[in-house]
Amino acid sequence: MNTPPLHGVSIYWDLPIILVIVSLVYSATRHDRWDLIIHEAIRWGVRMTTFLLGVGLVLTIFAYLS
Amino acid sequence: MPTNPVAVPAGTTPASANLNSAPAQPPPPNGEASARPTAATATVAPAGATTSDPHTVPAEASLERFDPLAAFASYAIPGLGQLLQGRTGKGILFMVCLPLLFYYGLFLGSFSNVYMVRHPSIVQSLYARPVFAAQFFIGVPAWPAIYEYARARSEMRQPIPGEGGERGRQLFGYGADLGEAKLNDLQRAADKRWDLGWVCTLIAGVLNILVIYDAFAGPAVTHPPPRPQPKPTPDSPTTPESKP
Repeated sequence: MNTPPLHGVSIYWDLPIILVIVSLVYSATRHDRWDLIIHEAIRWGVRMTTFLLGVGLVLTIFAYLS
Repeated sequence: MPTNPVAVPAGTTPASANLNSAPAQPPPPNGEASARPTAATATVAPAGATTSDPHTVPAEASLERFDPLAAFASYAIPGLGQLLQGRTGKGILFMVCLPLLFYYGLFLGSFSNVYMVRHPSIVQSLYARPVFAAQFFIGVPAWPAIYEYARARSEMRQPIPGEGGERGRQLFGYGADLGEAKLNDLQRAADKRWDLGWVCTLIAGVLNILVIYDAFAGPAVTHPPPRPQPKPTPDSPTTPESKP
């Protein structure tokens, strides 16, 4: 069987790509003006990053305690 | 220069209500000019009224603020509807980002994670793999899976030897249900990347639903232009403070 694409590369490197695309596209569907789109995209990017970091922190604490 | 008011007879649509040929307007500050009044920005005038405001459309034309053609165009190719409406920047953004995310997910899944399960009925197929219900909304890139499913269903009526779709018989190179054994091999070999791949395609499909809505009815949040304040006239009532 062929080696699957990007084998051995951590999947966490994909997160920034997904975060940027999701926040940009979502914000562009909310507004028509670019300044508002950029501001909304930054806000959503920060929210999602904070949420994911929080989940990661909780899981790390659980892994440390167990 | 003063603009001439446009007479709007009942039952007709003025040029300002035409979604694709709105008159030229000064662009908003720091933003991209909206080429048409959207469902949220346009205000509805009474029937038979005259208007010179490009954001005002008559009541008869209120339903025509929606743009089903652009919505279908954005379904088929993400961002195409926005390009047809003259919202070039957003159209290019959608046209780059969504296919990029979809094909990246497809690449991670070895071009084998967008398919419909072989079942006699579409409902059973979607029940077995509801992910395709979201992948479907990316438009044309998901159509090979529909083609492969239709072909597999016709083969189920006239069975041929072999399990699942064979690579050599595929029309577009992907979209067929490879069968459980091959998919299990792919998932084992790719560790988590195969699953991350279909998640990316799913996200792209769901985001395109928002893009389709944006083409159909305009952005979800709009900021209508400020209305000019009426100048005070000598006949206007005076405030109590001004009275002696």
